[in-house]
Amino acid sequence: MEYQKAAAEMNGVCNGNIIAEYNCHNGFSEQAMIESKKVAVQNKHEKSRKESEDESKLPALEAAYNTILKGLGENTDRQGLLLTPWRAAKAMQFLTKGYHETIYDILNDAIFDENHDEMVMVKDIDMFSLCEHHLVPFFGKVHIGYLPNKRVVGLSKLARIVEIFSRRLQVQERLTKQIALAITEALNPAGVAVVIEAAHMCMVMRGVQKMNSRTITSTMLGVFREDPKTREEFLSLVRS
Amino acid sequence: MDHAKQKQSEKQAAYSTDSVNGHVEERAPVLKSSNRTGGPQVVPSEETRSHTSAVMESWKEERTRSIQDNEMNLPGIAAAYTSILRGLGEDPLRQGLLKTPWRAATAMQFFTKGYQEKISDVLNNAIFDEDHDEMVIVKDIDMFSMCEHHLVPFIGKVHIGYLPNKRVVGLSKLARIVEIYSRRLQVQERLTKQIAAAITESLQPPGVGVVIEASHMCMVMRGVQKMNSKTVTSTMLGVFREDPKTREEFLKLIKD
Repeated sequence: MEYQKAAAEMNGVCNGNIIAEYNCHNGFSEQAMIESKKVAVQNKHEKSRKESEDESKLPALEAAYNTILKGLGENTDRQGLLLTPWRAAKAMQFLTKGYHETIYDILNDAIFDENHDEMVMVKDIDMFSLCEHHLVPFFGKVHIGYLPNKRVVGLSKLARIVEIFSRRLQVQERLTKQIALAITEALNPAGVAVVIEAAHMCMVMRGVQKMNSRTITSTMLGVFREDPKTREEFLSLVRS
Repeated sequence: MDHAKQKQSEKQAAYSTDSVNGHVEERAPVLKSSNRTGGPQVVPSEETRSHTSAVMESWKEERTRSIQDNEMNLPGIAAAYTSILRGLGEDPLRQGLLKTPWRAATAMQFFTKGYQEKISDVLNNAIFDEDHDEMVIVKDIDMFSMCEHHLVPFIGKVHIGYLPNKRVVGLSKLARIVEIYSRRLQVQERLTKQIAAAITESLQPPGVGVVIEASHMCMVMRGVQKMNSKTVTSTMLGVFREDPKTREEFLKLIKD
């Protein structure tokens, strides 16, 4: 099977090709820069999980959900549950549709040359993802900031990058890093900062059951990592 | 194996007449008759009497899922989750996903643990005679349930109010009733009604009001994707239904 590669972090694999940028090597920004040069070439040949594959996989997913419902002791013939396996399978495919999409498709035409070198921030981007450990949602807000290096990106593209990576089976730390690396690789800016604040239903609805707990992760690359004043400006703008 | 199959078929039989989630339609005659007479005493007519007794018996003898059932079913559910991971195009052998089928299966069993509990176990000893006839409200009870249509959570708050008739119930028991019914595959309307019906049946108060305000992940994370939408459902029984002033007092007190 093309996915049975021990080292392959599927989260970054599209149709069997390992995309280095998505393998988060406990991030040194220099290494990210080197990897990111490799990635630029790979991106062009990326093929995503095709939508037609979704259709063909649907019956198997439906059967699996049927087994789950029966295993939980429910009566799968009652009216409310008749179509649930199909609905749940389609919902799960939607919630993992990030595997469909590639950065290359989204970004390729929305990078502009602009003589701007002040911080650009897009904050409070709503994010919904699935915890890869329990298959339970976690959701929150993403704040992105970058220092352009004569090249700016369309603002909605930042939100689209968030969508691509969050609609997968994720770990919040990896999600933060993937977003930062994607922006770095696409724009080559002077610095990128990503902060995610999320509530994990696996902690709220089960387990420790702490209703108000929030998990915050951040990735600072380039100038944001080296210069404390830049980082401070970003963080205070996030908080305001 | 035979024992398991027998249990399974028993379960099916139990579910066809009284699905685990509970047929609210069967409970409805109880509520209607109390509304008609307008008082706490349920005076059943001929056709509702058999319904009522069936409901009362089924309430006391709900067939519950047991811990042994859970253990027996876990491998099957975990295998189903493995095939779901493969069907989504993921690699179930990568480090982050190795034990995910088991974790997800256990999590799902936790989210439906309401099937393991009976109201009678929770309530049986916490009803007290108290000379109190003013409204009692427990509000802002956090509620987490699973949408039975998409198997995606919906989260919200429950506000319960009732008028005791010389009998009050331990306050945490109201929250426990919410837990039992919300930890199931649910529809918000049915959840509201089941909570109200359970309180009515156990206490026979002159009136019960339940309001649930929830956010449905199936609407927020997918589909229409409306982030801030909330669904509000309410059930008003007895005096809460008939007397507008009582209802108004309840609704005002639960507003913050």
